[in-house]
Amino acid sequence: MSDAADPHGPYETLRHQEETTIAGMWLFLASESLLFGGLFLVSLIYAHTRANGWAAGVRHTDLVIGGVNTVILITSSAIYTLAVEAARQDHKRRAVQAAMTAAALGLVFLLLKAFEWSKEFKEHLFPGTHFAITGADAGGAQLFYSFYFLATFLHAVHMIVGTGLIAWICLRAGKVNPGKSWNTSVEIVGLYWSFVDLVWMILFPVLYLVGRT
Amino acid sequence: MGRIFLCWSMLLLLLAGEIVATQSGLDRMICALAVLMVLIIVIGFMKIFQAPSLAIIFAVAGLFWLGVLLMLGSLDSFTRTSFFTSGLPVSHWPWQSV
Repeated sequence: MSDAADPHGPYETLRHQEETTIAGMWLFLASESLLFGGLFLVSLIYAHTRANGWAAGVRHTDLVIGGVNTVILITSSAIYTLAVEAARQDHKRRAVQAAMTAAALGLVFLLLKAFEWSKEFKEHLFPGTHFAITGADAGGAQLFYSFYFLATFLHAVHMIVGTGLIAWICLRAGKVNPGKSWNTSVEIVGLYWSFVDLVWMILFPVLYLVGRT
Repeated sequence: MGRIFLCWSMLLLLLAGEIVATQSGLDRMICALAVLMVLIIVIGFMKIFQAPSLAIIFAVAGLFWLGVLLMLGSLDSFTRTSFFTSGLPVSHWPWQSV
């Protein structure tokens, strides 16, 4: 097979094209880290200046659901990495199976998150006039829950986009000969999926652990 | 396959470590374990060291600007020694007495 890329494209070789695609994804992820960075800055400041109220909020989160979701996301990311490895070795069927399992685990994560949210709405933990936590720490706790809902919503949006991308990968694999570019697509979607996992690895301690005891 | 399984096992172990540290109230330990988990994902799953050099430059640049954002953004809150509260009469605010 020739290593030459599409003569109409800006790339000299397929390898050049592949490397540029991967670098482009890393650039996008760097910008994403700044988006989430702004959010983490908020938590850093309020966990320090409104420590008691913030900790009161942390104590009200459901550690069991949060922990199970973390295990699910770690497993999903690991399974998708298996899909990347399989695609590199041109085992298309194995890659698709692993990718679909990873996406299914992502959906389980989202379902559990939705259940957790509904529980919190019922317990009046959404910031507002009927907020459940009262007293001197109510302000800090409301700030915590504002952060909690915004951060988990933003993360869930990324999960939905990631699941959609995996579905797109699987649909493209259905074509007779998806070619080398398909393997690169599997890889860049893997980078995105692992990044979503990475963000949760920071969100989980911030929302469920630090300040709990 | 073995490398991925190893990373997955280490992540689960670190998660268990975070839960134990939470019960002991070791907040700094939790943060250190979270950073380790992030490193395992970046090295083990995202394979940063096998990525093209341009990708490594983008990742380092992202980390650098993230550091700048967090450091400059939190500087005031972490260095301020006095906080004004609404309970304090306006006449006692420093800029009122000048």
